[in-house]
Amino acid sequence: MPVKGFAVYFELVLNIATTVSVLMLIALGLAIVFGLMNILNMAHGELVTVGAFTVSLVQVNGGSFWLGVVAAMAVGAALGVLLERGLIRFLYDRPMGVILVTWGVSLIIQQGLLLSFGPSPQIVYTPVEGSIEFFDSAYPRYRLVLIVAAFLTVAVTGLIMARTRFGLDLRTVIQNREVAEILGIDTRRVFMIAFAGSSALAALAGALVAPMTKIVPTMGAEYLAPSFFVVIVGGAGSLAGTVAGSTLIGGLRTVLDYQVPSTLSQALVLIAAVLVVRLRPRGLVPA
Amino acid sequence: MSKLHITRRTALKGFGAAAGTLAMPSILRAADQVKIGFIAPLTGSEAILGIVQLQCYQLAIDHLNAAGGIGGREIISLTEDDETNAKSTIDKTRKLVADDNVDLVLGTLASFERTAALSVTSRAKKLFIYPTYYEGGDCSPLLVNTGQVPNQQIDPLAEYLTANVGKSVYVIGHDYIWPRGSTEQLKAGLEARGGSLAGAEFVPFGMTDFGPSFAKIKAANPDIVSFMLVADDAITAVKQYHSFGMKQPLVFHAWDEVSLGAVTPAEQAGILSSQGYFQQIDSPANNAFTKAFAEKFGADKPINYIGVSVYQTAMLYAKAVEKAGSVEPEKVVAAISQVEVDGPIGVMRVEAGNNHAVLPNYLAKVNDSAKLEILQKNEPKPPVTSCSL
Repeated sequence: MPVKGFAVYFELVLNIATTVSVLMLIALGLAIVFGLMNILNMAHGELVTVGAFTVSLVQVNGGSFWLGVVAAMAVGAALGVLLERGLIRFLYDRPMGVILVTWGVSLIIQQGLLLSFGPSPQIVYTPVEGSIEFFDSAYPRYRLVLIVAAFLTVAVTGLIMARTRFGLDLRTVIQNREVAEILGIDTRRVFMIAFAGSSALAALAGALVAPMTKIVPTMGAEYLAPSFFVVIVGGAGSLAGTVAGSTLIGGLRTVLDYQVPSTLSQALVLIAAVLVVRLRPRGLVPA
Repeated sequence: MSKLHITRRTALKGFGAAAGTLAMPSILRAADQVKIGFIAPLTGSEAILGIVQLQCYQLAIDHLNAAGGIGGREIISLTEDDETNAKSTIDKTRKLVADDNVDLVLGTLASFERTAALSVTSRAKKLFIYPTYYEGGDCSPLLVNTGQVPNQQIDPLAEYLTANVGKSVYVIGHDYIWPRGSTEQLKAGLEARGGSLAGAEFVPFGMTDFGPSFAKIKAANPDIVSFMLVADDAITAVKQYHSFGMKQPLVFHAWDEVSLGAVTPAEQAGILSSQGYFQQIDSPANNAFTKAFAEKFGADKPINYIGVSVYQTAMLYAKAVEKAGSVEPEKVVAAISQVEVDGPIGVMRVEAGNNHAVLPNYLAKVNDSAKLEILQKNEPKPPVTSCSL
C-alpha cells in the first residue's frame, strides 16, 4: 500500500513536469519577443502549429521524427525572418499595428493550412513507443523525452542569452536601443535574429508536442492564451520568470485536476493568476 | 445605418416576391418546388464530420433529382455552414427560415447545434429533421429525429460489455448535454445487468493533457474506460490513452470511419464502437450506396453513420412529401410515420408518438490495420425517448 501511494505521487510529479514542460516550451519564444522586445505576436500559436505540421510532413515523406524536429525549427526560423523583414520591422513603434498585423498573419496561416491539408487531423508517429513501468504503474516514455527536451531547450536559450556575444547585444538593445546603436551594434540584425530564434522555438514546441496531441490548423490558438498568461504571471522580460510562471500555472493546474473537475480547475487557476498579478504586478520574477 | 439598408433590401425582396407571385398562379408555384435548407458544421472543430454529412446530402439530392425531384416537384437546395457553434447555427437557421422560406431544415450535428436550430424552427413553425444520434429527450411537434437514441445505441453496448468485457465502466466526456445524457443512459444499462459506473469526469473543450484524468482512472480501477469526447480533443485523448499503456479496454462509441485517419493504427487498435451503421455492412443497398459515393467523391473518402443517416433521411422526407402530397410541415409530419425507406442503414421508419426512428445497431472494433470490423448486429428496436408529443 505505501508503495502504491508512492507511485501515485511519482506520477503526479511527472504529470506536473509534463504540463510545465509544454507551457515552458511554448512560452519561451513568447518571453523573448513579448517579454524582451515588447512585440505582441498574435501568430505565435500558428508558429507552433507550423512546427507540428512540419514533423508530420517529414514523416509522411519517410523522414524520422528527429529530422522533422530539426526541419520544424528551420521552417520556423525562416518564417520568423520573413515575418520580421516583411512586416514587423516597419511596426516597432506601433504596438497596436503589430497586434493587428500578426493577428492577420495567424488567420492566413490557419486558413492556408486548412486549404492545403484539409480539415482532417495530421498524423505523427511518436519516436519512442510504449511506457515505462514503475511500481505497478505505467508512464509514457515519450513524456520523459519531452520533459528532458524542454529543460534542455530552456537551459540552452538561457546560456545563449547570458553567455554569448549575441545575448549580450540583445540585452543591450533591449535596455537602450539608441546607446546600443552608438556602441556599434546592428540593432536591426539583432532584432531579426531574436525574432527568428523565437519563431524557431515556437515551431520546436509544436514539433515536440505533436506526438501527444491533435494536429489540426487551429491547434496553436489553444496555446496562445496560456503562454501569454505564463509570461505575464512569471514576469515579462526574464527567462527565470517564464520557468516560474510555467511551474506555478502548470503545477497548480495539474494538482487541481487531481482534486476537482477540470472545468473548475481551469477557473481556479485563472483566479490564482489574477491574484498573483494583483499582488506582484511585475510578475513572480521581474526582469 | 446598416439596419436601414437591410430593411430596404428586405422590402425590395418582398416586392420582388409579390411580383413573382402575381406573375404566376400560386397553386402552380407551390406545387412546383420543394425548398430544402441543409445546415451542417462545414468549418470549425466538427468540420471533418460535417463535410461527410454534406457529401451524403449532395448524393441524396443527385439521386432525387435524377428520379425527377420529389413527387414531381423540383428541389431547390440551400446549404449553410453552422461553423460548429450555437450562435452561427441560430443565425443561419434564421436565414433559411425567414429569408429563404424553406420547407425543411435538415441537418446539424452536435446537440448544442440541434438545440439552437430547434429554437428557431419551432417558433417559426417550420419542419426540422435532425439526422444524428443523440442523448434523447427532444420532442417537438415539428421536429423529427432520425438518428439513434441511447436505448438503440448505448443499451446494446452496455449489454455487450457486461456479457463479454467487464462490469464497471469509467467515463471521460466533454462537459455538455450529449456526454452527460449518454452517461446517464450507460449507467442505467450497466446497472440493469449487474454492472456499474465506476466514475465519470466531464472536461471542458480544449484539453491538452489527460494525464490527471488517467490517474483518476487508475485510482478507480474500472474494467473498462469509455470516452464521450468530440472533435479534436477526442484525438488527443486517444493518443495519450495509448501512450500511457492503460490496461482497460477502450470504448468510444462515437469513433467512426472518419476518425480512423486521425491517429496511427497502433494508437486506435482495439477501440470498441457502437453505431447504427458501418461502411463494412454487406447489403445490396449499402453496396450500391458506397459505390455511388466512391464514384462521386473518391474511393478513399470515408463514409460514416452520421453521413449515411443524412442520405437516408432525405430519402425518407421525399417519401413523406409524396405521401402527403404537400410540403406543409404538419402534413409531412403526419405522413412521415406512414412511410418507410430501405437504404444503407436498413429499413428506416419513424414512430408517430414521438417522431423518433426505429433503428438497428452494430458493435465494431478497430483492428490492427485501422479498420472497423463488425462484431455483432442488433435488430432494429423502437426508440425509447423520455418525451412524447
